[in-house]
Amino acid sequence: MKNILLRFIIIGNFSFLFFLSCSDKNHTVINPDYEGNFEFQTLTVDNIVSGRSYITSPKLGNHEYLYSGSKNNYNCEFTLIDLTSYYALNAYPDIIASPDTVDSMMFKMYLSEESLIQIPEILLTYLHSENDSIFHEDETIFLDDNGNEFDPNGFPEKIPLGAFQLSQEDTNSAMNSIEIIIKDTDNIREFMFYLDDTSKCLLLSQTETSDFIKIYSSESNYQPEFYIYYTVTDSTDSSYVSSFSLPVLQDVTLINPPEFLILPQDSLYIGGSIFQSILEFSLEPFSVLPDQFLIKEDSYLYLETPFDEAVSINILAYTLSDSIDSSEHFITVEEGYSVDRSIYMPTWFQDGKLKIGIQSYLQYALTQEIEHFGINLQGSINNDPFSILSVVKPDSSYSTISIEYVSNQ
Amino acid sequence: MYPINKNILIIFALVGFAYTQSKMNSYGMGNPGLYKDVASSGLSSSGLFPGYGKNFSLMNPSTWSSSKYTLLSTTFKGITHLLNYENIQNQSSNIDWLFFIVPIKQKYAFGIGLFPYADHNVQFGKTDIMTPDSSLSNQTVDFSGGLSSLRFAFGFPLSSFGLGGLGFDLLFGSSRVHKSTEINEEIYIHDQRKLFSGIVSQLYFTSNPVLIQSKEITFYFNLGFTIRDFSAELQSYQPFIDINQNGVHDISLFDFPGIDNSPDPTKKRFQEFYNPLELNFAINIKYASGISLIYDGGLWKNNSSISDELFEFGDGLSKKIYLSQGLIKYAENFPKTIIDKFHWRAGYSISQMDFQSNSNKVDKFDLSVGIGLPFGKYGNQIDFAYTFSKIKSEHFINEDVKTVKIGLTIGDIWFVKRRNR
Repeated sequence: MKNILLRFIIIGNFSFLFFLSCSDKNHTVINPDYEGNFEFQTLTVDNIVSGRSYITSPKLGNHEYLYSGSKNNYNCEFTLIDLTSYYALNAYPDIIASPDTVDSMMFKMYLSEESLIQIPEILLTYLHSENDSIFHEDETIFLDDNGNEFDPNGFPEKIPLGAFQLSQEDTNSAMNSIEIIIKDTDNIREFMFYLDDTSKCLLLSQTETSDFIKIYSSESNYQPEFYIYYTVTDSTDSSYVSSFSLPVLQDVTLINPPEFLILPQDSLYIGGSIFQSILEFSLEPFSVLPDQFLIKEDSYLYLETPFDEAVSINILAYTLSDSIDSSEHFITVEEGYSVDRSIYMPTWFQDGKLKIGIQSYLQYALTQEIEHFGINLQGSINNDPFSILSVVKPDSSYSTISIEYVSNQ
Repeated sequence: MYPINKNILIIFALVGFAYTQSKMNSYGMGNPGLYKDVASSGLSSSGLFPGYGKNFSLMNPSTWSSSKYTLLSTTFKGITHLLNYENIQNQSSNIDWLFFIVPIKQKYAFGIGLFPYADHNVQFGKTDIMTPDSSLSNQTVDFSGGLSSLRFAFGFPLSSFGLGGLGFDLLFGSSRVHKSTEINEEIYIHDQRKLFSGIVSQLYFTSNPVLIQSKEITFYFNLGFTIRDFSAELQSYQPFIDINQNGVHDISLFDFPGIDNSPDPTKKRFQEFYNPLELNFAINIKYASGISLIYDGGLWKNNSSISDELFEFGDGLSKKIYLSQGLIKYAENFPKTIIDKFHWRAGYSISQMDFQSNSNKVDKFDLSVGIGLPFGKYGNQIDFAYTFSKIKSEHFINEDVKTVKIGLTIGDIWFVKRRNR
């Protein structure tokens, strides 16, 4: 037994120390003569892209500005603003029930710094509708479902409240603003009459087309303000003026885009929040790629564009989620086409070309991980809604898809 | 068996199988047949000659029936590779050999062994390569894995001619190819896996000793040939950008394209790329009691052509010849001095390797020494061998290899009726 134990200790310890002393090292053989790693290959396909443009409803619900006037052939005649009286009905039921105690009402809107000090005539009208609201800021289009333009005269009840004036210089604020003070007791009474409704729709309209001003919307830090001033008489028969406000619920400018017919027909249009374009191409030229491949980031779709440095526009490219039936160059759609935003396609302007990074799109389309319907080009919501970028129509002009890839060979 | 044996086996099992790299590993199926037991390594012998003990070789089944004991043999190897052209040194340590031999009534024998057959471990790199768009690129290709051999072998008498042996090597394994290219801090990776299988048969013959000029001479012979064609399946995986730079193909957002958005690997089968034939012989000349001089030689040949598509470099070994000479002094059964307690071994070997697609030849020179210490009553033995090898070709290959092997063989008596106490 002693022998067995002794052997265990000696041989066991010897082996253990030996294994501990073994430290494996594996350095790379750096040798310039070695060949065998993969190499990137290039595939360029010209003139397979076709495109079309369409107008869609602007998504300006989260936009920081409202507009009045005309710019770049866009016409902004009407702006709609919803006020809510829900809180006032609960907090000031006596005032709401007694319009005679109301002395005046004031509506104030702040102007962006670049807006002109000379403002055009902007009229304010109250539109009454039995519906809670006549619009939704995310879905509003200038043309309705039947293609009819917005008509303010179509409302049975409307109260003209006057025209905006440039506010008196306020030493407490560096902001310019326009305001309208309503003192006409008939107008106040009529306006207050409908305060039972929780939502009040105001219309800003401008008939002059030469001036264009930019007003902060309710999405900004300088929201429009609507105040109701009323007289309070206390138990000692002394009186004083107090006020409450009606907050803005939603607001939107109805943008009337330029007619397609006045735009050159050999271009695609992207920009603002109205013009979008679709690019379509066949995947057949890419069938030469091997069974397994990896498209490198430096893979682009190039389109010719009259590059104008003055146009500061951020183009977004997304994957179309469905096929497009129409083959017209210009089409009008209400909701736009659905897109898959999970596929990232960065865009740049370079050397007079719009350059779209299509690494992810092509990789997944060619491996059938996504269905290939085409690419949607649209402007970022942060763009000026009136900006517009034209791209030379690729059907009959220049377009190139150039990819770098590595195969599994 | 002693309880110590189990503990040592556990320690062996805990040690990882990691192989050092050699440029030879990058050519086709690598350099097969380098794996030997410790005793044969100490003699620079192919293993035909009984280097483990008198009349017994762990690698030659025709000699197994001479053992009185059932044996379990293991070998641990430490190896250092110095690549002279690049001046880098790689080290590894691993279990090299595992064999279980059961002699039956000293007439027959049966054995099962597991040992590496070919090693594909090598990592190549290129740094600061200028790409067409003037970016700098770093590339590495990491080959790993290899083939193992599961050997079933039998020893049997051949009437008055001598002893015979028959073995079947079930060769199997896989090697991985991990290609990585870094450009502009983006890492592109492509992985491949190659699965190999095939069966090689081994015939062994050991002659009865003959007396020539009053010296006892024994001849050994071995023929190895393919009985089931080698086949390979090349699995090629989706190349990807390793965004999180962990070297592994992860799901989307972590890698592009994610493994969840990648197609299954493509598979392609290959055959007739490897058909080894080997012929070995050895002569044992007994000079004095317990001292033998051995001459060993052999030829190995691949009778097929290496596939360009299966192997990156489109080349491989086509022929290998070697000659070796060794001297052994066996331990005495009843030692009078401490020297008599050990088997003393020394030898050298020269070999030359030819390639299929280039005319460069690779020369290999081995110089080795070894000792073995029998202990206990049942054929236990500890062996030690040191080998220095020089591998050199006119271009590309210049390596110094130092190998240390330690073997432990544990014996027991089976198939013997024991008297009940």
